[in-house]
Formats: sequence, C-alpha cells, structure tokens
Amino acid sequence: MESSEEAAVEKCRVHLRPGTLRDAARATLHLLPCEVLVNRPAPVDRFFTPAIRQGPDGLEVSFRGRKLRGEEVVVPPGLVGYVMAMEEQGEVSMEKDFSEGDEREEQERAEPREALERDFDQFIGAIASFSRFTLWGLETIPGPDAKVRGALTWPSLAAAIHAQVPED
Amino acid sequence: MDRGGPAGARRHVLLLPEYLKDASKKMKSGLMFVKLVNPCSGEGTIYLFDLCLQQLFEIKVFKEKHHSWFIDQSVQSGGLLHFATPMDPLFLLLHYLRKADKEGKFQPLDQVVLDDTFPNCILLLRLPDLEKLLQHVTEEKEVDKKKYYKYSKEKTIKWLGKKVQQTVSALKTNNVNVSARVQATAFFSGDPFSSDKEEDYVCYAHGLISDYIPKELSDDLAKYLKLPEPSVPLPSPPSKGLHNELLQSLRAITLNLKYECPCTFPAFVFVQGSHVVEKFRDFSRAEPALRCFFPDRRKQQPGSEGGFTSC
Amino acid sequence: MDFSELDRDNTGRCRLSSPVPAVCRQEPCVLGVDEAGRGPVLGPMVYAICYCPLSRLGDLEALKVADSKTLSESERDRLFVKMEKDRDFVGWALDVLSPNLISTSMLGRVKYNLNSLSHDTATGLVQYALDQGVKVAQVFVDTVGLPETYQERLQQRFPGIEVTVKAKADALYPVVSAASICAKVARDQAVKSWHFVEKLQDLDADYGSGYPNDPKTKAWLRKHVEPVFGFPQFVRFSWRTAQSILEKEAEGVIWEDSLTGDQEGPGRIMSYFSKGPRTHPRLPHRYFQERGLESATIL
Repeated sequence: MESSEEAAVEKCRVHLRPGTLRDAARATLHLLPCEVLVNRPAPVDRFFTPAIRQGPDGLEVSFRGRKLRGEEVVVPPGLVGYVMAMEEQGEVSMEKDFSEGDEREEQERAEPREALERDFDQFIGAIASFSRFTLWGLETIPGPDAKVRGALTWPSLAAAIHAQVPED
Repeated sequence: MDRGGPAGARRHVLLLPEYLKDASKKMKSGLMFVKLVNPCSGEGTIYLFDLCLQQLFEIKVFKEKHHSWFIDQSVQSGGLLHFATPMDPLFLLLHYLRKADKEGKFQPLDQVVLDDTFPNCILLLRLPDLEKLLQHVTEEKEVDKKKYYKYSKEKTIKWLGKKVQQTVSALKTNNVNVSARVQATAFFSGDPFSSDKEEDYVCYAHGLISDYIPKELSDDLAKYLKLPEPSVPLPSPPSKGLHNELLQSLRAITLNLKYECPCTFPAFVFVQGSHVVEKFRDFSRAEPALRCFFPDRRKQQPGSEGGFTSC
Repeated sequence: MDFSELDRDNTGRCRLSSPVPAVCRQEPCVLGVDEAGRGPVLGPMVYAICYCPLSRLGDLEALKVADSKTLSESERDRLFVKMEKDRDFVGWALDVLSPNLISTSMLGRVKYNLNSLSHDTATGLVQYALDQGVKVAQVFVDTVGLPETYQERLQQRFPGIEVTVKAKADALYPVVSAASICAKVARDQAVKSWHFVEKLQDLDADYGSGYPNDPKTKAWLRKHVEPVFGFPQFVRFSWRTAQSILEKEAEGVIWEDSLTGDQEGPGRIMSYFSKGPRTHPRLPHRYFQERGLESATIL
C-alpha cells in the first residue's frame, strides 16, 4: 500500500495470494540491533553465518566490528512467520495465468473473482516462511525482557480481547 | 532464485495464524489487506480479511529503533515484525453505527456501513453472524423481513464492560504486569503479581479496550466501571512560550517514563546546566516518577555526577 | 609454533606457550614482555613473554638476540628455532589477539582502548608465567604509552617482582629482544596462514605491510569493501583508515549508541519536542508501548 496517490490508497486492496502461503520455502532470519539504512542483497551466508560462535551464554558474532550476542526465538505456537513481497505492478503471476481449470470453476461459483480483484488492486505473496529467528543484542543477550519477546505474547492476549462476549 | 521482484525491494515480515495456511488450500482469492478507519484514532489503518474463513484480522507492527532484518541473503532496514490477529468486527462496526446514530433513526446495516474515504468498509458486511453481534450494541426492528438497527449506548457500554471482564481474566492468565509502579524487569513472570489489585486489572483492561473505541466511549466506560479519575493532568503552568512547550513535552516524556526503566532514559537530558536540564529539574521536583534523575543537590556526594547510577 | 587452535577459531584470543623449563621453576628468572602488530589495520596483535633464569642470561645473549625490528624475517625465524633448541632454560608464552577482538573491544559500548587491552594482556601473561610456577624475579617491558604510569601499575600488581618499563626495551634487554622475536614470528605466521572466517571469493593476498599508510594496504581495503558487512574480520574495524573507507563506500549502519549529528544531542531533543503530545492525541496503551507495538498504517 505504498503509493504516491493518497486517494487511491484507501480504495486499494492488497490481495495476498493464498497459494504462496503453502509453497513458501523456509528462510533464515536474524533480527539485528542496528539500523542498516538500505534494503538490498547481502551475502549473509558468506560473511555472517560462518562467524557465529556458541559462547558460554549464547550465540556470539560480530557485525561491522561490534560484538553481538544472540539467541533463538521461536514463533509462538499456532503462528507461522512469512516474508512477503509486493508484486510489481504489471507483473504477471504464475498463479493467475495457469490456474487449474477444474478448481477455478468451483472457485468462481463460490466467489466471483472480479468482485474482489479490481484493476487498481495490488498483489502480495509470501516468498518464504519461518518458525524461528535469531534475535541479536548489542554486546548483551536480549534475554526475556527484549521488547520483541513481549510483542510475541500479543496474539494470545488479542485472542482473549477479541473473543465474543458470553450471552446474558 | 529471485522470488517476488528485485532483491532490493521491500520485504514484509508477518506472523499469521497457522490455520490461514490450511484454509488457503481451498481458495484462490479472498485474502486481502485493506485500509479501514481505526475506531480509536480515526486514522486509516491496515486490516486483513479472509473471506473464505469469513474473518477479520487486526495488523499490529512491532517497531523498535535501530533494528534490521537479515532475511536469507538480503538485508531489510527497519526490523519491522507484523502480527495478524483475529479481531472482533464489532469495534469497527461501532464507528459507523455511532456515526449513523446522529440521524436518530433505525437504518439497515448496508446504509450505515458506508465510507467515502475507506470504501472497503463494505467488506465488513460479508462477515458472518452480524445480526447476532449487533444485538450487543444496537436496538433492532424488523420490517418486511429486513432488519433495521439503531446504536444503543447503554447496550454498548454493557458489552464493553464484558469485554473488560474477559480481558481482565486474560491478563491474569497471561501474567501481564498491570501495576502502575515502575517495573524495570519482565513483561511476565512466574510470579503472578499477587500484589496487583483487582482495580489495577480493571484499569489496565479498560485502557486496552480503549485502544479500540473513541475517547468519548472510553470515558463513559470508565464511569460505568467506576474507575477513579485519571491523575495525569497536572495544573496548567502559568507561563507561556518555550517554558510552556517544554513542560508539555516533559509531561509527555514522563507519561512514557512511568512505565519504563529510568535507566533507559536517553542521556541527552543530562547535559548539565543547560536550559533544558534546569526546566527538567524543576519539573522533576513536582513529578515523583522523575525524582531519581535529579536527587537533591544538597545530598550529593562531592564529585558525584548525580543520581544516574543510583537508579 | 602450533597454530592449530588459532586455525580452529581466530575470532577471539588464543594463547600459545612453550613447556616451562624445569630450571625456571627453581631459580629466579628474568622475564621480558613485548608485542608485535600493534599498528597495522590488518591481522592480529601478538603479545609475548620470554623468560630464563638470571644465571643463564649470558647464554641467552650468546644467541645474539636483538630487537626484532632490526632483523630480517629469516633471521628472526632462525633465532626462534635456536631458542626452541634451548628449551631447557628458555621459555615463552604469547597471546594472539584477533583483529575481531581488537575491533569489538575498541568499538564497545564501554570503549576498551588499545593501551588498556595491551596492559591487561601483558599483565595476564606475567600472571600466567607465575601460575605455571616460573620464579619471576625481574620483569622488563617495552613501553606502551607513558613508561612511568605503566611501570607503577605493573609494580603495584606484582609487588614481589622488580619491574622495569622502558621505551626501546626490546633493544636494551636481551630477554625483551627474545620476547619481541617470539611475538613477531608468531604475528608473521598468523598473518601468513590466516584462515578467513568469511567465505570469500577472489581474495587478494597482496595487502602490503598491513600498516594504514601503506598504499598497497589501502588499495586492498578499498577493493575488499562489502557494502553491508564492511570488511572481513581480518580487518580492524576500529582503525580510522578502515572507518573512513566504510563511511564513503559502505551502507550506513546506525547503532543505538552511534554518535551521529541528528541522533544525539540538542537535535534529538528538539525533534522529540516538536513531535510533542499534540500530533499524537492518544498514545497507544502502555501494553503496546512497552512491547513496541502499534497499529499498522502502511504495509
């Protein structure tokens, strides 16, 4: 939903391609304690991964001459992590072009596609999935007080807040 | 292999309920992110619809300064982590019901849930069991098998009261620390915070629910729950200009600070002798949560740099 | 020298040592301390001690050890082999401080400068000799920083030992010369057989002397900049030369303790203030604030 046309943004739907949720390959993720001011390819497997050591109190590595200490964080049960990428405008999706005919018919009976997908809509798809990531702290292990660990407890509280209230 | 556009493109890291993956087997479309009005802030906010499961999801984003992702062989600035969690659609419907109530009449839902700025709100009408849900917040009439609704504040407050109740029990089972005292350590612990009072839980739950409703409803709900008046607003400072500005900002900082370890407070405040520090010092005398930053100078040891280390 | 431990992991600190000659546990000994590779922007720094009984100092001098800087590499290697032959009365120990250890120490939240790192390493090696049972009576140290304060500190740490810290000690005292040879031989060998932690392609081994003012070294640094990771760990990131190349040729990286113009100081105060409470009439509930969570407004 990054668009310069502010007016179009609110109308736009970003369709998440359901098939990509099943097919996404596993990805390795590291959450770093610094802001790298760019989105770009980076040879993580050549520079970073081989330098990770198991220290006395957790994982150790260095990045740009700074010491990092880290630990594995597991995605809470019932959740799956996805890395998603917006499809470029005009990009032709494989799924769009080669939908299996028989399923398509059933699909369209259930939900006419045109009603949901409009010309100005965007598409997003999962390109990878994960069930754990490595959380790094600058010189110290992030530990149980890491903010992101707190954030990971949100889905279980959210479930309670948004559950239907009992009838009178 | 380059999947999904150029490698330098933005990636979104998102946690989804696992059942969405299983449900996706049967569908080709119907999962979509749209912008709808946030019932608390009034700002456009992202929600996710699954029209196959007929469910609405709220999207929260984890954001912490100075973070980035390594995702396989790429780097992503920002280090954002999105959460999609099921959301009670009634919070979003309430926004429209309350708006329509200004006309003071019973209306069919499809005439209520309309929005020029966020036209995707009509997707809310596709969610299941709306009739049942609406009973919690509306009076209804049926004419020629068509339902007409009118917002009911009394019912809504009662419904919100139940929401608070179920949130209170969830806070307890999740061991959330709800006490107002400064807590430097964990978000949760084995210790069930036995010292936390019931009132603290209700107050906290009220605050959480208030993030889904407009301010006015939040205030009414507080009265209904017989919560004490918030102690936050300080007497207005008499002076104007920079002084006023500073105090306002400091008050904002203080509100944040009350819930954080004082030691995480940025060191910039400790530029000794600067104008800001002096204002802050004055202010901190009036604000107990801040006193540890500026211990009484008379008590200071010679050569000591102040109370920073004692926090 | 057996570098197998260093080959296994060269991201930290590695200690190598000779067996302690039996005589050194019986007779009062003289011990010299020196380093090699303090200045270069590349590779490890090595601290070495060498010791022998006071009674055998003449035999050590007879080896014609001299300041390692005045010797060619082959002469140093030859002298080190001689000392190894005299292992019945000469002992040595050394610490290889990896460039990664130097970088992470000097760039730490609490800055650990090279002098402190050097002093602590030297102290650690003297203590190591004592722990091994060497009867250390006199210690001679080539200076790092001001000799007076360093000497005072070492003397306080080892009150029973006569400590002498002096500039050019490596030229003045044969036992320090011997230590300097150990250090230099080890540093050369470590650099030559350096096992890069990174899986690098097209690695150019021709990096000159490793000193920051060497044009070859500078050219090597420029050639091996990786936009995200900067350099391989073989490079001391804490050196000014390395940092200025990264500033120009690598992507920006900001740490929470980074001192950059608009992150710290008055600018930050003002930006906090100008945001103020007015533009955000209602902050998210403290539950969300404490967890860094907010409602997503863009995807």
